[in-house]
Amino acid sequence: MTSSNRRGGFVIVAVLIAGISGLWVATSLLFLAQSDVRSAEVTMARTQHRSLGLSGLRLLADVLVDQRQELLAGQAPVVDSQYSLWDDGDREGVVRLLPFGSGGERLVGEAGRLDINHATVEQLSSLPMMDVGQAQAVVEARQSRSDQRFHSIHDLLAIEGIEAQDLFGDLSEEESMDQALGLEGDLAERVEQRLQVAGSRGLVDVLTVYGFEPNLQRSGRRRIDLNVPWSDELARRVTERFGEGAAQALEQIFQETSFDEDAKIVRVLRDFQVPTREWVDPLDALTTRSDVHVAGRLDLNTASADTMETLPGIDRSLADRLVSERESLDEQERASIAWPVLRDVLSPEAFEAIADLVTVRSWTWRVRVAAGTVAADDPDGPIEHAVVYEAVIDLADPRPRLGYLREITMLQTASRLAAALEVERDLDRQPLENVDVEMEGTLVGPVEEPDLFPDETNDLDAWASMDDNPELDEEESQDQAPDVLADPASSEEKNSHRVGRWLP
Amino acid sequence: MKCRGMTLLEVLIAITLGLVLLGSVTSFAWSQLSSRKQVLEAADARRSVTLVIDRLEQDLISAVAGTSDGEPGIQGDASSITVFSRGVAPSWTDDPATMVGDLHRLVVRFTPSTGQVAMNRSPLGEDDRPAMLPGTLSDFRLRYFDGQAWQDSWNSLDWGGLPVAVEVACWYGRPAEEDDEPAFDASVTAREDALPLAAEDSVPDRIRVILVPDAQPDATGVEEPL
Repeated sequence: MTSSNRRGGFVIVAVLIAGISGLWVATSLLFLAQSDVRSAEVTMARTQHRSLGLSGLRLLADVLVDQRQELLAGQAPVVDSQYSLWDDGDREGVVRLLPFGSGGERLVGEAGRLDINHATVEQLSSLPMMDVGQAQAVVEARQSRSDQRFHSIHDLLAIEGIEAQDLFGDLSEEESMDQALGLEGDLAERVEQRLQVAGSRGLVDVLTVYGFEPNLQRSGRRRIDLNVPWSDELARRVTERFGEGAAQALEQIFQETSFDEDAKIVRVLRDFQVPTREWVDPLDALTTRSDVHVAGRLDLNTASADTMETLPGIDRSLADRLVSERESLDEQERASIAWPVLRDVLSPEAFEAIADLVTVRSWTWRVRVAAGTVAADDPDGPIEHAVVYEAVIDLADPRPRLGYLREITMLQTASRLAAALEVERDLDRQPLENVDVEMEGTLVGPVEEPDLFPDETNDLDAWASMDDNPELDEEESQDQAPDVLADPASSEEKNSHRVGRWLP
Repeated sequence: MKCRGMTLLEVLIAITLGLVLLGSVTSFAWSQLSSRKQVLEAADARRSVTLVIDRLEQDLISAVAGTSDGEPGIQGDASSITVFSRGVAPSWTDDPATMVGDLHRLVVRFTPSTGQVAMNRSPLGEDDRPAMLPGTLSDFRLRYFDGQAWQDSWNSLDWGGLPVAVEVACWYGRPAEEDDEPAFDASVTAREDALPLAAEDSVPDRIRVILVPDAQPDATGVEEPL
């Protein structure tokens, strides 16, 4: 009786142990499976959001290319701050343009920056953040390239003497992912930050490799190339544009002058004492380049004062005046490169010196987009599983292209790591300096410890408060009637100075 | 109750029965273990392929046609590919410039004799140290679409641009079963003869066509209205 009781007890205990261990195994298997499923879901979401991002860039390119007429007139294109690509009632697939320009712009014209593929040592060294040695190193590095040009601003990092900080400024300020997640702090903070970083953060804000433009007139037709021998065809085109008298006069001028640079056109206008208000048409219609695309021109309508200073004969005060004067330009004035003369900011002589280096149009626009899903009832809230792309949209042809495309989802992490590394390097140097000071016998005050993780608290605060933040002022959407452009550049790549990911 | 010893016969029978029981349990356990190994290997191979396709997709999207150093952005043949792309790699190096730089090189290489896939992604300038991925494949094939036809190899310098699409196809290695031996051998022979038998004769176990956005606008020969 007792033995069978004991046996029964054993059986119960054994069954219990077996049951519990079975349950335990089953639970852990379940968790394993769940974590596998979860990671597969995240991977799939990322893959889908990558496609969403690319679709968004396509959409954006189409929105921009519809505004080519406005671009020709020297105006900046208008875009929304967010586009919704699908909506299933619960979630919404969106592409959000992140504010990344030094003044918080969501769309940055590349032509407003100095093209490192055409800049001279003098131009580069007149940038506030570059010295002569660095400028020479850049030009030398460019000449040693196989096709004598840089394909990305990041190529400068390979040059001795140019550090990551020179290029990007304070790396710890990179916040693309925070922006995608809606963690950039409240409205007041952001406005304050923007006011603080009105200037250029680093070379990345003033340099480009995409400073090219189609050689087009205001009407969208090819410009008339004067850098050729006089011909009936040339006479016909000039007559068509300016009348018979102009063609005859030009034929006379051709006997003495060879038009090998645009400055010569300005020189002739000055020599013949053409009133400056009549410069607009000749400067718009004539060129001295046979190239389909011309490069190395700075957009007077979007360039910062830092970049304007790189033009010959333009000092800081003139650059500042140009920047402030363009605020009051009307649409007509913005469309001509002669506006600095018409507004009496530059003398005709000073303008002649920069005539080959300036434009009023930007055909390449840099954007940062975050793609992912948001809750349908809170479209401005954080983006889930965001994928972030940086792209340069090239509108030089009627068919828009992505001149540059980089996935920067991990850029914030990488930048913060790099920033911490730089702080660490500085720490390594610190003790040596202290020793020197002590050996001199002077009183040493408390050494200020460099902050290893300067943004740590900010980050934690931000992560802790995942509540939704109001979006900054939405840019107005504007319905654009797609205007077909007459006779723009053909698709031939001959004499094209375009740099793009599609070209070797 | 009187206790009685067991006869020799009984002991032998007991031992035999015990051995038979032990043998069947062992063989059961053995088969369990080996099938577990096969399942794990198959899972490894699938995971590796997923990783390779994922990485390729991510990098091909932002690939460049050529670098400033004159290297082709996309260069590959049927079993290997090198892609230069614009991306980010937050790897811990001692150089901040490497961490935030935008050019990265991805190398994927399939070795037909071993069935292994090696992959490496590094910021430009770093040494090429491809890591072998776990699991083996019976075949792996890459093809490149030029807008008109599929090509077996690609060099973006020679072609003057990016391919319109890249196709990744793979055949998982089948477990070596007794009655399946000849077929398995045949595929091994085929690999040694460098004949893409699997590619010709069977549908790939996994196939992915990765489009390169904006690659060759004129590839279709149709010019957009101006």
